[in-house]
Amino acid sequence: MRSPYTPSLTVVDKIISENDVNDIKTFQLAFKDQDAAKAFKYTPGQFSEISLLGVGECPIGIASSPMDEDYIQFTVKKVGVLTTSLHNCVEGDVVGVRGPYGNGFPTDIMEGRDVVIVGGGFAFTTLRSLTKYILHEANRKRFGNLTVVYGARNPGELLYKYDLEAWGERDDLNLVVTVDKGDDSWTGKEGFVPAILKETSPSSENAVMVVCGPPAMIRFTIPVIEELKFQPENTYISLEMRMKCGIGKCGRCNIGSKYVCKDGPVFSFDELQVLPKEY
Amino acid sequence: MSEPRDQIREHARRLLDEGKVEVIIGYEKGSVPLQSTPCFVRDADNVERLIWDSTCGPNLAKYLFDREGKTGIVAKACDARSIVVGIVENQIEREDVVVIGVPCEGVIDLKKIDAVLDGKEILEASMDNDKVSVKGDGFEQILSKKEFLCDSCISCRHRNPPVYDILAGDELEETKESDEFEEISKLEAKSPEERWNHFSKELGKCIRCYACRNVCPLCYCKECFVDETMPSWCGKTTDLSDTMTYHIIRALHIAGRCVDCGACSRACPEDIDLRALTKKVEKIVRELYDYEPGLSLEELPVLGIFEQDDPQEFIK
Amino acid sequence: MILRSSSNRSVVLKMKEKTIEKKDLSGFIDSLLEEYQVFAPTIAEGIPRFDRISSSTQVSLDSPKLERSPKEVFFPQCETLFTYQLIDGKMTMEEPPALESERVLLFVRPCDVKALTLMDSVFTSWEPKDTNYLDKREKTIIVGRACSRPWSTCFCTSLGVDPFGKEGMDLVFEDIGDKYVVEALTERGGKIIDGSSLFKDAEKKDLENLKEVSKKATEAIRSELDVKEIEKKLKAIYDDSFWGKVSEKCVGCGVCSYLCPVCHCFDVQDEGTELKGKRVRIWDACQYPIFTLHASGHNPRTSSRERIRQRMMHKFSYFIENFGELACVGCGRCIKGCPGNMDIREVLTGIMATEAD
Ligand SMILES: Cc1cc2nc3c(=O)[nH]c(=O)nc-3n(C[C@H](O)[C@H](O)[C@H](O)COP(=O)(O)OP(=O)(O)OC[C@H]3O[C@@H](n4cnc5c(N)ncnc54)[C@H](O)[C@@H]3O)c2cc1C
Ligand code: SF4
Ligand code: SF4
Ligand code: FES
Repeated sequence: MRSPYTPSLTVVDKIISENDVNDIKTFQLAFKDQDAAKAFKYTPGQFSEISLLGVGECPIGIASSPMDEDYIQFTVKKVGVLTTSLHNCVEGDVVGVRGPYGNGFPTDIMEGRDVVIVGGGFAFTTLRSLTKYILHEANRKRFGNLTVVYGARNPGELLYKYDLEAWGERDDLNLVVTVDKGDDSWTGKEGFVPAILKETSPSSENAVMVVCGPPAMIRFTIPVIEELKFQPENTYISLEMRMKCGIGKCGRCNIGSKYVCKDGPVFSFDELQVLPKEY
Repeated sequence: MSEPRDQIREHARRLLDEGKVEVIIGYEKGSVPLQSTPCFVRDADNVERLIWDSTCGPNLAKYLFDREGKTGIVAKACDARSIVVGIVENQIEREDVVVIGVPCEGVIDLKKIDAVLDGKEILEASMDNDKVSVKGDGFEQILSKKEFLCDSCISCRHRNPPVYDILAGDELEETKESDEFEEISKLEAKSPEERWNHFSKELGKCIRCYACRNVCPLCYCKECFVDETMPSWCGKTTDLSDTMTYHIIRALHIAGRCVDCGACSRACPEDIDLRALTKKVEKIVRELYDYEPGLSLEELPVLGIFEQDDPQEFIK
Repeated sequence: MILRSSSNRSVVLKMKEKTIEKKDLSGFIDSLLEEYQVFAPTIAEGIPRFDRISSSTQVSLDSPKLERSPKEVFFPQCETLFTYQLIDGKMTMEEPPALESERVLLFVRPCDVKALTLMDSVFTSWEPKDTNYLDKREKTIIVGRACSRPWSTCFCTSLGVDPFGKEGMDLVFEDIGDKYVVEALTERGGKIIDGSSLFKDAEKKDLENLKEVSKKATEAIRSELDVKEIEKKLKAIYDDSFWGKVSEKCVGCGVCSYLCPVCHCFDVQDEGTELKGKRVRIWDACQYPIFTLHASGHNPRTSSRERIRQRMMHKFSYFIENFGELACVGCGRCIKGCPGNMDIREVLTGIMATEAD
C-alpha cells in the first residue's frame, strides 16, 4: 500500500534561468525510477506537488509537454520558503514529485476546433505545455487554427524565449508576443494583453479559448472575450489557490463545493459562474 | 445608585443616540449557563441585551485592535488595562474609544465549578453578590462565588479600571489579601527538574489551537512568529519541543505588556495553567523595572524604552 | 475485510441480543486486550479522550465532561507520512508500516461513529484514497455505545443522528442499568464476543428496559432545530450581511475545528534537515487567517466573515453537494469549547431565519 503523500524522487537535469532578474527558473527533472516515470502520465494544465525533503512541498504547474518523454519541466518563481530553496538547487540535486494532479485543459474538447491561448506574465507555464502539445507533429492535425497571445511586463520577463523564437518561424500558428513596455532592442508589439487580444481578434467560430494570467489581466480580458463572442462554456481559465495535499483531502483549496486541486485547476467560465466568488 | 448593568445600558443608549459611537461592545447572556458572550450593539433599542455580572470573562479589548470608527466598550479593570497598553503601543486611537469602565470583583471560572460538580451538568444557574446557585438533573447546589473565581481574579490588585471615560458602578476598595505571586513562589521553590516536569506535563497537553493567543488582546502581531515561515522559528507539531517553544516565546513576547487578565487560561480547552509562565514573567518585570503595564497612558512600554540605569545583570 | 462505504451502511447481521453484567465488563475488556490493541475512553491529565489502553482500569465511561472525539484514533493530530534519510548519497524514504493486527475501539457514541463514516467519505471515496487513514479504519473494529446520557449542548436528533442509532458500528453496548444489552451488527463485531461466557442471551425484560431507556435518552435531548433544506438557504444568503454580524465575535482560533469529530482539514510540514527527517500532516483549521493565504499575499478569505461562512457552508452545503450528507453530527463540542461562546445552534437558527437581503 503506497501512500499518496510519498513523492517519487527525481534528479535535476538542467536549470534554465528564464528572466533578467533571475527570479524565475525552469527545472528539468528526470525520474530516478523508470516505473515512476512511466506512471507519470499527464495532460497539459495539470500540476504536481514539488518538494525538497526537509523544506516542504508546494504545487507547481507542469511546463513541459506530455510529448516530452524523457523529462518533465517546472517553471518556478522565487517567492517563499520552498521556491527559494529550489532556486538554490544545482544540477544533480534530488527533488520529490507527486502527481500529476488536477484536470488539465480539455484537449478532447479542443480537438477539431480552433484554439486561442491567452497568457500574461508568469502564468504562461501550463499554456506553454498546451502550445507545445498542440504543435507536436503527432497532434497538430487534430486541432484547427492555433492563436497564442502572450504578454509580459518587459522583454526581459518573457519566458521560454527559445520556444517563442522557434514558434515564430512556424506557419501553423499565429503567435502574438507583446510587452507592456519594450526596450531599445525590442522590435515586437507593445501593449497590454487585453488590447492586443482585441487587435488580434481571433474568430470565436468553433473555437476554444484558454486564458491564464494575473488577476488584473483577467479582469480586463473578460470584456474582450465577451466582445469576441467566446461563449462561457468555450472559455477556460486555470486558477490558483493555496494547496497542501493536491488530492481533495486537506480541505484547503475549495471554491464552493469544488476543490481546485481535484476538480480544477481548469474551469470553464460557465462552471465558475455558479461558484462563489471566493478566490 | 442603580446597578452597573443598568448604568451600562443607559450610557450605551445615550452614546448611540447621540451618535458618539457607532457600536457598543459589551457582554450578553451566553447560550450556556454561566457563560456570557461578546455582543455588538449598534441600535439603541438593543441595549437591553447588555449585561454585567461575574460571567463577563472574555477580554473585550481584543476587538478594539484593527477596528475603525468610534467604539464604545464595556471594560472591566483588566480589559481597560489592555486598552491602555494598546493605546501606548499605538495600536488603538484614544479618541476613537469611549471606555465604559466597570469596577470588577472578579469573574468566575466555570472549570472550577465543573470540577466540584463532577460530571453533573448545569442546566440553569443564577447569581447574586456572593452566591452562585446551579441546578441540573436531580441536583441543586449553592456555591460561594469567592471560591470559584479565576486565579487571576484572586490575585488581582487592580479592580478599578485605571483609565475610563465613564464609570459604571462604584469604585471598589483594592485588596491585598493574598500574596499575588504565591503560586509562582511555590514553583520557584521547586527543583529545576520538578519545574521541568510541571511545565512538560502542562504544555504537553497543548493542541496548538491558538485560542490562548487569539483571545489575547496583546497578541496583535500581523504575523505571529509561529506562523512565520521564512525563517520558521517554531515547528507546527504538538511535540513537546514545539509546544514549549511556542509558549515560552509567547510569554516573553508579552513581557511587560501582559496585564494578567487570565483570558488565555480561561480559553484553553485543555485547562493548561498558562499563568505559570505569564505571571512569572510579570514578576520578573516587576522586580527589574518596578513596572506594571496598562496603568497609565503617560508611561511608555517598559521594554520599548532604554534608560541609563536599567538593570543589566540579567544580560549574560 | 471490507470497509463500510458511505453508500453501503446497511446492517449486515441480525444476531440475537446478548447481555453482560456491568461488573463483568472489565473482565471482557481485559480478555480483549489479550488479542487486540484496544482504544477506549480514558481520562488523561483531566481531559477525557480515546486512547490506547493496557488495562480495563483505564476505561472511564462516566467522565465528567464529553470526551474528545475519537477522530484522533484514525487521524492523529500529528501523523508521520514518511521518514527520509540520505545515506551514502542516496535518499531513501520510508512510510510507517501498516498495522499488523486488528484493533478494537471501544464505546464510541453514535454521533462519533456517524462522524467517522463522514470522514470515510473524505478520505476514501475519491482516488487516490488516503492510505494512512484507510489502513487504521479498515483494521479497527468499532464498538459503539448507545448514548443514554446526552449533554445539554447535544442536538444530534435535529441532524438525523439517533442517540440509539447503530449505523457504522460493528457491535453496540446499550446501558440498561446494571447490565448492557449487546448487539453484534457485523461479523467482526460478533467475533469479539463469540465464545465469551460473560455474555448471556438477553431476556424479554432486558429488551423492554432497553426500549424505555432509549426513549428517555432521545427525550433528554433538549435542543431542537429545523435545518430542512439548509443547503438551499445557505446558497441564497451567501452574500447576506448576516455573515458579518454572526462572525463578529470570532477570534479565529482553531478550537471548534480541532474538537469537531468531522473536521478533517490538515497541513503538511517537513520536520528535520535535508539529510534526515519526516514529513508530517498536522490538523489545521479554516478559521485561521493564514489557512488560505497565498504566497503572493492575496487571501480569498480575509476576515472572520468569510471564514465562518466557509465553515458553515462546508458543513451544511458543500458537503451535501459532494457526499449527500451534512458534515455536522450535532455533538455540541464546538459550543462548549468556543472561548467566545459562539453557538452553532444559534448560527443555524440565524441562517434559517435570514431572508436574503
Ligand atoms: C517585547 C515586545 C515585542 C513586540 N513585538 C511586536 C511584533 O513582533 N510586531 C508588532 O507589530 N509589534 C510588536 N510589539 C509592539 C510594538 O513595540 C509597538 O507597536 C511599538 O511600540 C510600535 O513601534 P513603532 O516604532 O512602530 O511605533 P512608534 O510610533 O515609532 O512608537 C511607538 C510608541 O513608542 C513611543 N516612543 C518613541 N520613541 C521611543 C523610544 N525611544 N523609546 C520608547 N518609546 C518610544 C512613541 O511615542 C509611541 O508612543 C512588541 C512590543 C513588545 C514590548
Ligand atoms: S489555548 Fe491551550 S491548547 Fe490551545 S494553543 Fe493555547 S495552550 Fe495550547
Ligand atoms: S456540533 Fe460542532 S463539533 Fe459537533 S459535529 Fe457539529 S460542528 Fe462539529
Ligand atoms: S490541496 Fe488539499 S484539498 Fe485541495
